[in-house]
Amino acid sequence: MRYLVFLGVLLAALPALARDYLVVGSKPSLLHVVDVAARKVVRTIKVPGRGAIFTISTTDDGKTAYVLTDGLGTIMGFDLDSGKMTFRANLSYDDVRVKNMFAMAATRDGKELWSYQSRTRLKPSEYEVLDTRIAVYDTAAGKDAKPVRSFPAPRGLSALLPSTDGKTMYAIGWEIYAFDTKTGMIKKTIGLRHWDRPNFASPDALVMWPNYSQSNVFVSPYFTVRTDKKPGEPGFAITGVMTLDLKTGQHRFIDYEDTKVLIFSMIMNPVRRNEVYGTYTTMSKVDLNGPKLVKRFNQKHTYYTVNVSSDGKELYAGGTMDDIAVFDTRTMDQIATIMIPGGGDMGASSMRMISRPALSE
Amino acid sequence: MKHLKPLNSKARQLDEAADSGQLDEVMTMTTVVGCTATLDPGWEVDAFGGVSSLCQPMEADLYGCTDPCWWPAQIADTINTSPDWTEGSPSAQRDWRNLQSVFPKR
Repeated sequence: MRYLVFLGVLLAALPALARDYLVVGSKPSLLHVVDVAARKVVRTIKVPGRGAIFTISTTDDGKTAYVLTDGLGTIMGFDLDSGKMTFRANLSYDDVRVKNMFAMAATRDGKELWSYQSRTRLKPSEYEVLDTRIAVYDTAAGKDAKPVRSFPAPRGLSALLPSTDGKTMYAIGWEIYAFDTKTGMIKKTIGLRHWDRPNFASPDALVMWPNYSQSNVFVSPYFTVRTDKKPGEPGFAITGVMTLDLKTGQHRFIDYEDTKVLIFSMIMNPVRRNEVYGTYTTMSKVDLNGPKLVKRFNQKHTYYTVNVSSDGKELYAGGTMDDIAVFDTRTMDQIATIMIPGGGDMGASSMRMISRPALSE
Repeated sequence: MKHLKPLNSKARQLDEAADSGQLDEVMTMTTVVGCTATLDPGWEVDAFGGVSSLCQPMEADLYGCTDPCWWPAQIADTINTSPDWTEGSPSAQRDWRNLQSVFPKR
């Protein structure tokens, strides 16, 4: 009986044996699933349509990836086990051209897909700019999905981030907006362009990469200047880390250094949560408890985006060109390189991390 | 704004908005007709007046920026008007010689 209990406990623990996979796109219209432990791409899916892969949203169970492609005009969903398309929404309709400006996300339960849409009515001799909106699709709607509901959304959104309880969809743009997922109403606005920080100018940020997986804390760099200091004076230009906890809704702005380099995107270590890593032409390791810069070095080339393993031991820099650099998060030494098949550029593609049972090759 | 002089009515409106403290009402619209994600002027210098903080190598940034329509004035608009500009050339570093100038279709 004791052995049966042990076996039961062992079986119950099987989900913990989940493997880490990165999901990333590359030109021309390819979606890759990368087994990071094996250091290789184990699935490549040819995405119909043309051009680059932009935003990728993965479901929490790691089974499905939604891909924004076709010149920001089409969203497709793929079953990562079979490689088959399960969902497709062509965003344009009638005489209205619709572009999803990067912000796109599946809800936590995987039932809905939220798409931020910029719309233009193409008249015979005139373009009519329509209001921006968020359109919501039923992910079970198949390959000719139409919005089941839509609601107004501010201009300039670039990322959608679902809260862990499924009740809120955070949108990052000029400000941080908290949408009620049931009603579509904005229930809270967190100042970003209009943050309440005396003697600080409005921050500049590039939030194209929805980097929160593993820790469920979204992090992104921002750049600002002190209005009470003179240009060139120490402490005038400041780099910081914006954090948004998708579990609690709490946000922080953490200034950590005088601006010395540009950083495109960041990720938080899910185990040592004071550690954040930021990438662009350099890689930076930041201690939020200091707060201080711990380490910085030049990379072999520019990498737009980063992600981190479930155990917090490995860091992955990707996007931009055709390789993913693997680093040890303690030493920050590069320990491997994973090449993307075909050699096409990843460009501005998301690089999402999923943890799931092993994918058959 | 004392060193800049508005030359057309839109610039004058911007000037007046600044004088009356209404700058918040003047914002980019993300997109006007599907392209122009930003008003970023493109390849010149970095935020520090140099080039060391530009992408390395320069080609690394080409598709990451042209595909989201970041620099619509300098390179082809692959979102709408020149969707096939990078067709057959998936690697900017390797294939940039294949990329050609584009001209408006009549």
